[in-house]
Amino acid sequence: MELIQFYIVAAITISSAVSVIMQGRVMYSILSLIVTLLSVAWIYAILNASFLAVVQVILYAGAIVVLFVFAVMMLRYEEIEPQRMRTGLIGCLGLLVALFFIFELILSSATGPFVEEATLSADFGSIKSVGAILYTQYLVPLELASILLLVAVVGAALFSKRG
Amino acid sequence: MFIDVAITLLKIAFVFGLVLNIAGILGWAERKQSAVMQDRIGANRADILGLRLFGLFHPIADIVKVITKEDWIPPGGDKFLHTLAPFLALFTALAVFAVIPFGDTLHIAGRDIPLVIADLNVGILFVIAFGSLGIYSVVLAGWSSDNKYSLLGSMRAAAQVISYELALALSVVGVIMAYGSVELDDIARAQGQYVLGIIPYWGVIAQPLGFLIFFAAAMAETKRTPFDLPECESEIIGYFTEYSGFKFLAFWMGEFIEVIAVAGVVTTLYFGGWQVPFIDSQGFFVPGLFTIPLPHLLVVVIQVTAFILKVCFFCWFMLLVRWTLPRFRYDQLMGFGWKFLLPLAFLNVILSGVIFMSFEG
Amino acid sequence: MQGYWLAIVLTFLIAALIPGLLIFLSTILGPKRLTPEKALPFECGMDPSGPARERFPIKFYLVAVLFLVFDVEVVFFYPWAVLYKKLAIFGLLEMMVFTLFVGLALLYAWKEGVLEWR
Repeated sequence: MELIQFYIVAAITISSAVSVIMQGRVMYSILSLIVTLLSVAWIYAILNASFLAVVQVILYAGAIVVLFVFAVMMLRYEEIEPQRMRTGLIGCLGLLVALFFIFELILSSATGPFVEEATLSADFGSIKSVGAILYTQYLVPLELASILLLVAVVGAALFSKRG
Repeated sequence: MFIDVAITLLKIAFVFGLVLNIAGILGWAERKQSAVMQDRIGANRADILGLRLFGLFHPIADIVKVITKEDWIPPGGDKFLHTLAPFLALFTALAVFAVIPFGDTLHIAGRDIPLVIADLNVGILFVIAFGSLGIYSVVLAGWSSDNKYSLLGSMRAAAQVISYELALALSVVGVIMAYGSVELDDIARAQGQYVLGIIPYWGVIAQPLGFLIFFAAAMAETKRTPFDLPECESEIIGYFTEYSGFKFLAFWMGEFIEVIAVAGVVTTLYFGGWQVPFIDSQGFFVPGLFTIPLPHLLVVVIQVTAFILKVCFFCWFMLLVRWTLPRFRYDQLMGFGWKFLLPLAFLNVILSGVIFMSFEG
Repeated sequence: MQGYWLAIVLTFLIAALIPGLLIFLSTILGPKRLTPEKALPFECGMDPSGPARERFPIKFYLVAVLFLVFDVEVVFFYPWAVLYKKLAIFGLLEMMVFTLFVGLALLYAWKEGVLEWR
């Protein structure tokens, strides 16, 4: 049951990811991206990481893609459309990166350690267990992240002054 | 397995049936409420065989009328996205109800049935996630309309929604701190405790400031007056100007369903959910004095009814606010969200942290 | 979580079915009479002038950037709020430092005039 569910969701993820780069129109690319991100969230949920799944929806599908949408709406339609399907150097580079990842994937799936029937603690992936690690073991990275985000705001503010 | 599916379907039918009916009645209630407040009569024309019933047939008449209207798509627009936008408006609003508990666990025929469609362990975060997805209906509607004003309107609406979403998401943190859980079921159950033995420990007692922030931000999220700049049907044109027929109504229905969702979440987080003061699973009791036992089924029915009544009250309250207050100017609107509500929400989190800590001893 | 799959999938299906069916019905039942006036976008009732895709103030984009940053920060509050009682005074101090940086970010954006709309 779980396996069937996984294969369905994985198929949706991959086909929508392909659709992101193949779509002719920007808005459709973005919609495909949303579908990809949501189905990745669903995969997290299958893996019992419910908090991660919902954060994926809130942050990726609900915030980062909004930024993309705003960027698209800022531009004039005609200005962005023709340049989209440009191949050439960047396309070749992308293909190389993709090939590298496929190679890595095959390599790691051929050699990597696998656990059959891994046992999970009852609250694995729940918001409590994530927090318990985040606020004790990874306290310093957390505080550093807040500084990083402060820098991001400063950058955004400066960028508005230039413009 | 089969019986589980049947129970789930029954719960979905109950919740969605209720929500869609209340949404229909809200459409009528809004017209009547505005009429009362402006000294008019309001919608009263629709009748079936001469029976008028204060115009209560108007929602039915509206649906029939709107479905048989021409469904016009701007020729320069995008057909698919133009159809997707109203669909998303309804879908994201309806999906939220999956996690809102409408009653205590029902014990019947040896089964424990939690009266919530899906008791997810992410609870309120699910609501926030779907609230944040709702922005795409706004954006797509404006984008696919081939109308510069619609596009501008959707931009303003989207900026408004994301601005207030921050304060909304942050004000919930206080409630989570007070009850130590994100699950709406747990939160509703925890509100059955009493402070000083007699005052029910509802969210509004623990988080008065948080409640005000949440309610204000939630009203902005639903794009209702005083935050209804994206729509303001009496002045400018908004993001769904280029819509007709049912798709136009879908945005309004989506708004009403969001109103009900907000009322449901406010009830669950801040007003005890399905809790009725001094009635628990044992029956009616006066603290420290005596208990009158009530049958389990009766208690559940009372609690579900109480939940529905509370939701209706907040729906009505939002109608009242809508017809009482004038709307903001756009710079005031954004200023209110970013410079007032958001800092206040941060302050609320820290303040409640300190206060709870000092009470704990 | 496993037990709730079914409930969630069913809810999504029905929540999609209701608007889908109604929109489908309205496209079937509604009349289709295209007149020359209807071949233009409605806008304000005037004939449209110029293309619909105009440039917009960068302000809107900035709001989206700020929203993204603060949304990330807000999400960090949830695990803390759940564990608030267990983490006790140390957790509170931790979060105060975190909030201080968030507050600084907001103050900076405020001072730089990102939050002003003219």
